[in-house]
Amino acid sequence: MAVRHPRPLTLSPKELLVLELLVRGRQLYGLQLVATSKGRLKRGTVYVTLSRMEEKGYIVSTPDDPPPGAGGLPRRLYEPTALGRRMLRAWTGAAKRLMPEFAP
Amino acid sequence: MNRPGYRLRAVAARWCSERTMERLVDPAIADLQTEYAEAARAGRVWRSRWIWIAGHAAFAKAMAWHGAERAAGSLRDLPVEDRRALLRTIAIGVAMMVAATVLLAALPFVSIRSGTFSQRVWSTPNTVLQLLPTTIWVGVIFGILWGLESVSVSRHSRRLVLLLALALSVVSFTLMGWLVPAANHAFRVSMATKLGVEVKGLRSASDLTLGDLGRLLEPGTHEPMLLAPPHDVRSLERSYYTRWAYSCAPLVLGLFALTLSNRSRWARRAPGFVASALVLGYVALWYAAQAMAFDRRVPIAAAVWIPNAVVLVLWLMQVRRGTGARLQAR
Repeated sequence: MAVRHPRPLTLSPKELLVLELLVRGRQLYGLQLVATSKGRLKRGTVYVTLSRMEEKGYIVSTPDDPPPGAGGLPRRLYEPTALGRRMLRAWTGAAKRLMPEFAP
Repeated sequence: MNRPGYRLRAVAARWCSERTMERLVDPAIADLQTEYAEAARAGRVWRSRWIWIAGHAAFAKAMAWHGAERAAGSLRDLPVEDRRALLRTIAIGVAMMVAATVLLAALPFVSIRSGTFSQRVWSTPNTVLQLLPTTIWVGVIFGILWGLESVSVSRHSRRLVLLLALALSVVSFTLMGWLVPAANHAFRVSMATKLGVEVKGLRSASDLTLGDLGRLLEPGTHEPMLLAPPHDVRSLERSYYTRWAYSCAPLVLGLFALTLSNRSRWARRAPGFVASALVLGYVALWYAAQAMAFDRRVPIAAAVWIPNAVVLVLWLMQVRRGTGARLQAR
């Protein structure tokens, strides 16, 4: 029988951007991430990225209570998990060490 | 206020898991609804319409991406041997498809009797398009029998191969139903223009789309259509029903080839020979069925399905033989 190895933890550029935006301190909706990213995140793919990050355990989402009388489906607020914050620190730290000339 | 997205949600709920609904569908629709409601409350009608359009387009894109990621993930989760076998199947299938297309397209060049060389060259793209519905199922047979030769792949992998064969059947149907007729008509018009001949929208059965043929065959009066002679109801019927039956060939032959690769000793020992025999057998059945229809021994609508029916019967026999052997072994 073939041996199956656990998938290594990865962080794509979009996931890195999402974590950077969320780690700035507050919870955000999906569309707020799109607006804050200044076009780097797209409306169609942001939810796929967020769903994937939730599966990986980098972020967690909670339903937000809509204002009274607002109606519609409840929106979801996203925030980074402890694993997500550690991944961001590890990634940016490694980037700084490998390429200090490009470090922010 | 009528909020958008509930119909989308209802459609998505039929296909998506609870997890996908919770993590992907509901957040996308909730954001769309909130943004739409804010624009509508502020009296910005055009802005709210734009949000409606952009929101629906974004939702469709999200579902397409999610589907593609799930498909890629299911491939990634396959055992290494299965993944290699699948890639080999696809590679061999594509290679055989290309080889068959080149061989059949080059045959007119071998003939030195009719047509000028430059005319033949010009008709090549059209010829290739016409050959694809045939070479697709040839590729499927060789791909499966050679690619899965002496490899026992998982049931999930076999299902993926069958899904691919189904997708190729859909491609074949689209080609035969609409693309090839459009290309034929465009070729007819361009050749007529080159030769200075007036075409005036003249069409033959091969220029008519599936929709056009269906309308012409319906009883009752129709808008007159300029049809190139000779044409009759039988040629239109043959063209119409053939396209339906022939486009199922990749699926039917793929199913049979999959069972053979799994159960037949011959298929494992000599896959090339078995694949060639299957191709020739199917072609022979096809010609026999067309002859029966021409002689009016069998109605055209039934005759065109004979090759697929024979292959399905053979498939059932293989399946029952395999089931019988398993029961005996117990």
